[in-house]
Amino acid sequence: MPLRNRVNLGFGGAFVVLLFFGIFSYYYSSHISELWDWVGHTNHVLLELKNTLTDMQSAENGVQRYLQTGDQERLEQYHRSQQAMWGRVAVLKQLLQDNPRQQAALDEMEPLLEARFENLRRKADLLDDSGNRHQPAPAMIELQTAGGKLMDEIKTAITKLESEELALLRARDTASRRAWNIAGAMALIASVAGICIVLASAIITNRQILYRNAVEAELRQQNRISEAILQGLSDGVVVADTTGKFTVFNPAAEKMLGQGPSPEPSFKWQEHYGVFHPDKVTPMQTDDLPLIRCIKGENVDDDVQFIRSKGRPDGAFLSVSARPLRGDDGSILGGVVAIRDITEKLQADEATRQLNAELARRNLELATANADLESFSYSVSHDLRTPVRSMISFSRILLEDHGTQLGEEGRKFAGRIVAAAERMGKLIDGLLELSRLTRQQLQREQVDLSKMAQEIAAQLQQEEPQRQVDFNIAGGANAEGDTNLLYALMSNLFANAWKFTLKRPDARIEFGKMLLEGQAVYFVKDNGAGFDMKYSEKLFGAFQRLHSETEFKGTGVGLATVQRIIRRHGGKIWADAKPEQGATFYFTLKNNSKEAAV
Amino acid sequence: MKNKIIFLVEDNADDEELTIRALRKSHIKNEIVVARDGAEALDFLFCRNAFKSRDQKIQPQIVLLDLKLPKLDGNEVLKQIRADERTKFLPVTILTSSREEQDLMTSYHNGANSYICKPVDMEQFTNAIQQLGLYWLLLNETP
Repeated sequence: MPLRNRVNLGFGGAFVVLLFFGIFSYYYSSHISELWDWVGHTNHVLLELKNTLTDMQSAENGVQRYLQTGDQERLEQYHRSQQAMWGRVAVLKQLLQDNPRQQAALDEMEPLLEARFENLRRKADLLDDSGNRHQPAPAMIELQTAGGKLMDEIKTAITKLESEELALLRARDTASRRAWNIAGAMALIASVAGICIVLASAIITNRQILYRNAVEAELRQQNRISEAILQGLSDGVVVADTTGKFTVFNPAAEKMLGQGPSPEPSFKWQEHYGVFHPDKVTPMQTDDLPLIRCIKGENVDDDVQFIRSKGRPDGAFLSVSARPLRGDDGSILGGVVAIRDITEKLQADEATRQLNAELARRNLELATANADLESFSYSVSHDLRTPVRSMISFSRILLEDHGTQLGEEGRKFAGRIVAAAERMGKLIDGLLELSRLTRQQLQREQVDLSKMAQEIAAQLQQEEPQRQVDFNIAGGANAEGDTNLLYALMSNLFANAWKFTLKRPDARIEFGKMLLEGQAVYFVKDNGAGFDMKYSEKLFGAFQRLHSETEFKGTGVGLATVQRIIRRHGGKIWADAKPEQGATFYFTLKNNSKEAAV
Repeated sequence: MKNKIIFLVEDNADDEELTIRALRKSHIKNEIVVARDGAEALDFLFCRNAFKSRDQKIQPQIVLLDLKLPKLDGNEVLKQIRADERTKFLPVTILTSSREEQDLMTSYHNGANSYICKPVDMEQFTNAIQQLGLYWLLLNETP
């Protein structure tokens, strides 16, 4: 049961209990007061009865004295007392109206009283106006005796009336005592109930106050947190009620909109804040404003608008989202709007877009250049080779079919044409190889360079079996790279070493792998002709030669090819050499730690 | 063997002469018909225009086709040869200076029977032509 209902029920119960006791108390108090009235009434009756007797005795006394003194004054006493007594009897009649039994008793007593007064009068009549007794004593005695007898009867009647009234008084006293006790008990119970109710109310109220205080403290804390968040938030937050009155307007919102909450009605907001569509010129209709839309129940997400006002003279692009603010029953109480300044982001996007466009343009240029190069290579491959072949072939035909006619010198010159053309053919092949390496897709895999070195060495030996070369190839030199390209690389380095050790009787070629600063370095070392290190910069350029053609044959593209392959693998190549003391070529393939761990 | 024509499609006069010379040196006596561009080659094969009166039934035993040709290039010629019922199964050998992988792939894709790169060296060239003739003219059976 909800607390509110329980409290209501408690208070209702307390009300009923207190009302019950209130009514009872009232009833008993009025009952007691009634009883008390009756007690007073009875006492009054008793008093009047006693006075009746007293009046009677006073009248008797008056008559008695009159008879003795003949004083008229005394006779007056008799008359006054008689009058007073009849007044009392009238009062008693009045008082005993409600009690028929007593009334009857009183009525019975009345003739006695009359008789007694008659008796007294006759007594007084015995004295004449001169104050002399004129009747004889026996008459006096007779009257005296009758009067005493009447008096006894009257006393008996009064006593009867009195005892009856006293009985009534006792009964009324007992009733009033009982009522008093009940009323007292009621009052006690009512007091206890009242105290309990007050205590319970105090406890409940206290608990409610404590609970309320805790809730209020929690609310204040929540408010402080919300306030701190709103103050520190980089997004603008605005809350308004359905009448368009702003209830929240954080500093970020003020900064973005260029001004604080507008006191003006919503239809003036567009003008006040300078809200436009993203085209910067079309004013936004009031109905299109996110705050208005969300107050109407719509969810707005990332609505972009342009703001230009005296607070934001340069204008700004804002991304606005809005949600309706609903009460417990789902009815809309207002709207919450979150604002983000996207001016810089849009500028950055634009810059990125331009950069991308530029990049795309350059890529296209590069692709075009590559395509040009490819078609150039193709032309070289096909068109340049054809005339070379013609030169060689026809020179040979000349030598074969017309040798005798040429004479010795003629044959020598024709031989030179053949040699020159063959060299050109090789140059073209080298160039093509070089360009092919640039374009070919790199496919990385695990390659056993030691095994590759052995194959190449065997092939070189097979091509020139007369040569004596000591190969020293270390095992286990693994690398990650493109098998075909690495083969071309190793072939070129070995071919160089083979070539430049031609004049050494003790020719020696070494291959191995070592670690230099944690990186795998491969090397090919020979004890051949070597070179002067001051020309080492020329070493890897295409068609660069450090030795004359007559000394060592070659096209000059070998090391250029080697360097290109290594660069494509992300590695480096360098050489160490001295003239006539051999050369060592060192290379790495990939500058990473994984390589070093191999 | 005399009826078996060798059809050489070659625009370079030097290469034409060298090829013919290499064939003759290899004692191949077959008739050699030469076309100097792609269009002429197709005209011959399909008996069109200048070759209208040629006997359609006589088709070459082997076509030696250069890739770089005036008018229509070698690959286009090859495609049309393969597209036509009459020449669908004609043995075609590409004879070219190009060592480009792409050219080789395109040629095989279009249905070349073999691909020979003309060596610069005279001797190698002669050897290559000799073996070519031996294979296609003597050993190979056409449908």
